[in-house]
Amino acid sequence: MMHRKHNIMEALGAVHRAKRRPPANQNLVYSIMGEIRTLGTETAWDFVRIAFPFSAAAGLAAALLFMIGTGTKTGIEDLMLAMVNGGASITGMPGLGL
Amino acid sequence: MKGHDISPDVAVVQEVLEGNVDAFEALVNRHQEHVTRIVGNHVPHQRVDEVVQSAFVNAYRSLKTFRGEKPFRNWISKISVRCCYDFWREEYRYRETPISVLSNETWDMLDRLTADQAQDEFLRQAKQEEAVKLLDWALDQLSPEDRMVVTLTALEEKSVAEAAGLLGWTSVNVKVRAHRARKKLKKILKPAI
Repeated sequence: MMHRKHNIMEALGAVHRAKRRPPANQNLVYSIMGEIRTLGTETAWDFVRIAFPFSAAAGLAAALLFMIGTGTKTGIEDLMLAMVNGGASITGMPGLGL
Repeated sequence: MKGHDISPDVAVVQEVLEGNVDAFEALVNRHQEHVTRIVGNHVPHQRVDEVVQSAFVNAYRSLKTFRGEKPFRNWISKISVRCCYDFWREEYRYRETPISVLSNETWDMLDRLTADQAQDEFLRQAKQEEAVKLLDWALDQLSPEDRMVVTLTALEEKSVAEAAGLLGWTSVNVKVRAHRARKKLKKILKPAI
């Protein structure tokens, strides 16, 4: 039988290779997929968080225009005319005084 | 992604990117064993599952960067090795427990391993609990970078280019670090010889 001396790195390499490795855990698939589905929901929430301020601002602007449009006899044209003529508008803003 | 080279993995990746999150399960099933083997080479047994999970979650997060030029297996191998590296960086940052002191029997193990002996006996010794304890203790003395590079190059005998690809480092960096890390490891174990 052949006998020989091994160096440190050879010895450590052999120990490393001889180490018992854990088998793949089949239950882990459910855990991984669960986390990934949560990530999908988080991404959807991120979109809502970003989109909400824009849609809220657009909604407010639309509501304001609607109020202006329905609060005067001829709507927005009256408002602009009032501002140009220097009169107070229904918004309470001072006119341009032109 | 190459449209004409549709391997099963590439097709699944495309499906996931088109919004079918559940399709990712096929990739997990196909590559879990491989990822577990890689992670098992670097982190303690009881922490393998959490690192495997973070490897797959990271893969999912960066799925858009998978170009399909190389097999998915290679791509996820890199992610797995980097997750192991991140694991050790975190471990070392919050390390509270003092490094264990080895018994004389454990110290003697290296002497027994390196002694003039037949291959069968050498392999039998390498399987001993004391030998594993000694290796784990020695690796614990290294920085996370040195630990990763020495495990890949010296213990797993991967080439410099292969280790560089897995770690995302340059070949020169791997070469220099591997050399230094091996020297440190030998110095750490010097009292045992």
